[in-house]
Amino acid sequence: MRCDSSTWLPNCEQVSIVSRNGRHFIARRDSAEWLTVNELGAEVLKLSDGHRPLGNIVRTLCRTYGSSEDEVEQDVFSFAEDVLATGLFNDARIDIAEPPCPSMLRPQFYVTAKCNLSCPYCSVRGCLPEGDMPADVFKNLVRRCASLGAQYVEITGGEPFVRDDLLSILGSINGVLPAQVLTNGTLITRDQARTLAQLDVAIQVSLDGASKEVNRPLRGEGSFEAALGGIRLLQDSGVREISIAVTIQRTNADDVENIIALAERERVDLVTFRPVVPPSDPTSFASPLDANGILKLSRRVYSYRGPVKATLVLYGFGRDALSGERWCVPGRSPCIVPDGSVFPCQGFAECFDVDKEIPRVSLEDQISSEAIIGLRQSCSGRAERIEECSICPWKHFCQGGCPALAYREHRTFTAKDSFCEARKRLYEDLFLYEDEHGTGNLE
Amino acid sequence: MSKDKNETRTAGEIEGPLDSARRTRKYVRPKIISCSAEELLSRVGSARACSGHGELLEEWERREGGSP
Repeated sequence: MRCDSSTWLPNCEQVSIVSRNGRHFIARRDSAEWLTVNELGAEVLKLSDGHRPLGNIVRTLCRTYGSSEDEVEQDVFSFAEDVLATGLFNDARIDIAEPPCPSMLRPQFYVTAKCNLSCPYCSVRGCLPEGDMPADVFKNLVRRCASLGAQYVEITGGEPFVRDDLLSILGSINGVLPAQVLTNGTLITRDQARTLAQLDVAIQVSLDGASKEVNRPLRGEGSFEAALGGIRLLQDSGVREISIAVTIQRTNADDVENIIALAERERVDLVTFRPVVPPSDPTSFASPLDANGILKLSRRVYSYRGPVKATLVLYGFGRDALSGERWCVPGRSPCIVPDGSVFPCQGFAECFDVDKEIPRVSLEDQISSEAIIGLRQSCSGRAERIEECSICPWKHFCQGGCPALAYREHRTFTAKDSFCEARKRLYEDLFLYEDEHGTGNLE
Repeated sequence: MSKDKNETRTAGEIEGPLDSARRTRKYVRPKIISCSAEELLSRVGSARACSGHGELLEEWERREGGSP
């Protein structure tokens, strides 16, 4: 659309504006449309009230800056054309995709509640039914997941390798679905590693530091040496995919680069950093990073350039959120605990006292049962129902954060979770600071 | 989108009465810095909004052509 002095932009008083660093993030409040503009761009948009023609805005800017009308006119008209071309003000808005009736993606099996370590920040201690999931129950459930469209299964616990029959139960699903085993790596033997290499299995080893000194207070005496030994056995045996998962808190936040360097040395392709979730079990202890700490973590992770893929996992911040996808879809990646109970996701399984509020229904009913659809709806509209979220410029990305975490922390879905401030900082950093190595957003 | 002209001049260069605040402001043509998620996505790598472990999920995404 060609603009001239009689054109006017729609009323921009109803958009959200976040200004930092000479940049301005402009977002609609009723849809996920957004753009970032420079100072003068923001000034033009702020002057647009739906009635004031561009000619009027041009004259205002000329008076302010003492520029010639010819020059400013062309710039403003061109800018207005660019803004209109973005679709920011289109009536036919593209809202965040409504959650479809999903096929299953990645069921997570807690095959045992037992663990040989006692990490003080453990988020599942005390949450899981005691004992092991019976082998025949596991095999049956995995087959049902495959028929429901699951792409792969995650095997976790507790510590899966405390089960004497772990390789047997993994063997029982080989060819049914690929598996990823989440382990602390400390119990893996050479024979087990060789067998694992013959299966369609990936292994994720949890490690919280690149030295025994950092690792010890978080995962226990001897855990570093044992986990590193496990990684080396897996590598030597040719297990096809090995990754490292790091739970980050204040205690080990300074070890990010060392952990990535360790991954490089050990030829591990992927390291995921996940800020610790404040544990709900009163006997657990964690030292969560504050918002600034998580921002620093993000910058450290993403300033790395090298062969290892280093990434951050944080509820409500990521590729899926930025893509406008409905990233939280309860039931898509259900969580099955040792007694065979099925929860809509890992977060809900790790809540205490969830019997009444969180539906526990069969695997098949995770897709389209009334209870799960109701839960999905409760989760998907949270950003508008939480007062503070409803006016937040980032709401269309984070979508109100993690409903399970909010529930765990506040016993209600209509509350922010504890990562809210961190997400705001991360989004500001991403949208408004170009220099990814800078510290402009760090206070 | 038109290219940045890179033209700036200070209000102090302009004749006429200007207050001190205006003298410190520069005219820089209004422009859109970004309106595409693509470049932002390239900066967050494979960060996830929810549990997303490892290559298996990315393999699935590549096969299915989008985020799950």
